[in-house]
Amino acid sequence: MISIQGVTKTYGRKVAVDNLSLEIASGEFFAVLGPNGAGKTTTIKMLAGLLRPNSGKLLVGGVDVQTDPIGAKKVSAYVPDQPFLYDKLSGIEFMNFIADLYGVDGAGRDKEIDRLVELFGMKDFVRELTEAYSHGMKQRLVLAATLLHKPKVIMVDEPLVGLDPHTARLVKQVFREQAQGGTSIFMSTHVLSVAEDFADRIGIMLQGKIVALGKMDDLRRQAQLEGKLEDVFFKITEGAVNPYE
Amino acid sequence: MSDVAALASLKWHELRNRASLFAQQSRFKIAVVAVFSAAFWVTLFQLFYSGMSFLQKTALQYNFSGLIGAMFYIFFFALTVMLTFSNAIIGYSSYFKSKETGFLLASPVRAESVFLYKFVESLGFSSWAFLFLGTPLMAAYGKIFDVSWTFYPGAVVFLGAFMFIPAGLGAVIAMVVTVYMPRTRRGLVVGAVFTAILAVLIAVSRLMIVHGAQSVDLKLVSEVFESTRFSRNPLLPSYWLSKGILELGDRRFSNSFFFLSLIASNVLFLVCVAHSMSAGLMLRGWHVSQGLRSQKRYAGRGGVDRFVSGLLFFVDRNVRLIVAKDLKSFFRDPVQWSQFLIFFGLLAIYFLNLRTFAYEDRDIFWKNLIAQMNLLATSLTLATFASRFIYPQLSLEGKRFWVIGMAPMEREKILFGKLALSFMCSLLISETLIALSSIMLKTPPTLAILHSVALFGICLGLSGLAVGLGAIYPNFQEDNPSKIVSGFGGTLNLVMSLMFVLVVLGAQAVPCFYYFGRWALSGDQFRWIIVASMTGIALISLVACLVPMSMGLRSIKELEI
Repeated sequence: MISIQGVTKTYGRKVAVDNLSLEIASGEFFAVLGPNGAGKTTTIKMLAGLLRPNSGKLLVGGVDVQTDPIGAKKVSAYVPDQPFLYDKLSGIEFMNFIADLYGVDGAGRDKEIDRLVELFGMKDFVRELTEAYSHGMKQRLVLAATLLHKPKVIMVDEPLVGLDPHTARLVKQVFREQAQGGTSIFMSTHVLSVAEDFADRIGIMLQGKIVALGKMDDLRRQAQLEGKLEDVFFKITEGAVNPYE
Repeated sequence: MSDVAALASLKWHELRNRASLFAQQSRFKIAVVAVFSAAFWVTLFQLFYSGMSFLQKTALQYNFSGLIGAMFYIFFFALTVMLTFSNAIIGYSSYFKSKETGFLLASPVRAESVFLYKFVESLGFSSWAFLFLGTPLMAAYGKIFDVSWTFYPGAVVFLGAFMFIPAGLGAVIAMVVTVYMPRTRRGLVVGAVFTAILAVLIAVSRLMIVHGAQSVDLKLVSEVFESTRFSRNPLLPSYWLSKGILELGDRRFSNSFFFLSLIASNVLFLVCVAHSMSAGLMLRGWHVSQGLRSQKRYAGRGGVDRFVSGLLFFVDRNVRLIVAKDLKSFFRDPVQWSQFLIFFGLLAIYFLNLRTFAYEDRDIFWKNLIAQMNLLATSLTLATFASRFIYPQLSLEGKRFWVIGMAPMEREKILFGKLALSFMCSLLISETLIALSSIMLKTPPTLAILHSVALFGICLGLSGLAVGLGAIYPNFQEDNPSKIVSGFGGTLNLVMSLMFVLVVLGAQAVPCFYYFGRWALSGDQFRWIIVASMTGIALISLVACLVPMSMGLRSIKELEI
């Protein structure tokens, strides 16, 4: 469902993503971990069509992101770490706008909006302007809007930052359910427990490369360490990161 | 629903919500905006009317009927150049830097639809002032020449249609430069500014063809007419606009309609070209601009810190730190300083070329008149500068306000820092420009000193107004300075700044015209008038600075973030 084939991205002399290749299957929940500056966000932005790779190929839902960007966007959804919202639109207006953009029409549209409003617990504030929303409310709205067009692929960058425990649990559940329904999830996160509990596979990025990839057991084997993901992560990235940098 | 329809519906909902929010504001606020805007429009009308009446009188005196027409051609030519580059710069940040563009490009909207949507937005941002300035000019022209009523709506249609030409050109420039020109952000804007200045220099160099030191007013008038011939080139869009409006005023409706059609067809062509180009260049431009990163490394303390320490040696150290931080942020954002450069660069080029017209050899009446005009242009530019760059300074602290808000220093110092920065920068720039004007015109020392003193007061008052009102009406939610400026406080600041400038210049102009004009006064009488005028300027400037500053200080102390 997601295919990254020999992708390299540079900013001037700095190599952000270095000849990266990765395949993510349909219905797979993939979590990518890595220290700051490892290339996670750059990879997600390339998948979303917001950055162009210097070389390599990216397929989302079987569609080439570079040759058919609109086609790729139609079957995918991207949730950035700091999502953009229109301050002067209400939540319900924003959802309707997204439905229009993605061509979600027909009788089921209003019902689906209502269902998502209910699911994300937005009934009380969805008719207020988004400028009055807290971070968690904004994040719930963005996620609800993301699911409107039933994407085959969801790319999400740090979805849990700043969320209260209830919202965080809701977000995790929703992604899990989406993956069970056949949607591929590509999630970048620093919350190791989420990756450990929810992801089917985990990739650890360092300096633009995937240095470890697989299920938890595979990672443990690679790190030659039994234990939690946190220990495995530190073992694999040991020496490559200066925490005081 | 098509993507264009979805975007149009988005804009409609946004506008509707904004309007309903505006309607919920206090009636007093709305009334203040309405009254000030109307008063400003009327003042502009009066200024244009007086200026044009004077020109028309002079023209009739020497049987030179085309003078106001010549002024139209040069005025709209200059405005077209400015608007084109203003559209290119605003377009660049709107098409390739805004978060909204990123959001829209990540959705299945065609790049050309995103372009169209952002094009209309930047057209509005960069061209509203064109209509606001253009309509009183048209009204004044209409009154002087006793035109038919059809002239007024017709002129608005002309101005409205014409706005799309510089907007379209600016959009094409922004896309081409982003994709094909220098690969760094700084290089990009440097290229744009360089091209703008080059274009103006070429235009100005054409002025130098005509040169002379005649002493008769008629010669001056005919020289101006001759030397601005380039602006009457029939291939220029500004010519179509000026000619169309003049024909409309002369009741030659079919000729006027021809020029309107010419503008309309070129607008359609240009927008089609820009739209087609955007299909290929919009996404590429976004990729290029997002892939740029400054490779430059900065030292912990550098030239700016030393410069600020020297310039503001008399203020508190913490205040200097804030000023240095603001200056660094300003000079590292090319979109900011390039607008500043265009503002004052064009004025400097104009002043440097004053001798082209040999004004320095004319009688004192003309010298004084030109010097007054230069002072007016410099002061109005300063007012715009203060509204555009100084007023939003505190709001731009935005979500970062906790950094200085939590620092172990009194919050008042933040405002004093911004006041000191604004005052010193505007004083340095404007006094240099006016000194340049005085030297080029060879004005008498008394006049040069008067102008210098008046500018001192203007810098102080404008800085106090911008900083004070910026603290009274902060907007910490917005990152875009253009949007901060277009709010209630920004509008109030702009209107009050312009009125303040007009009052001070009026107070300064009265003795100058009496003494240097054609109403000679004795030395004693002049001295008394000068003392009264300077005292008046000092008082007005102090009030303009201190009242908003003290209100701003109170506001920032009580500010809850």
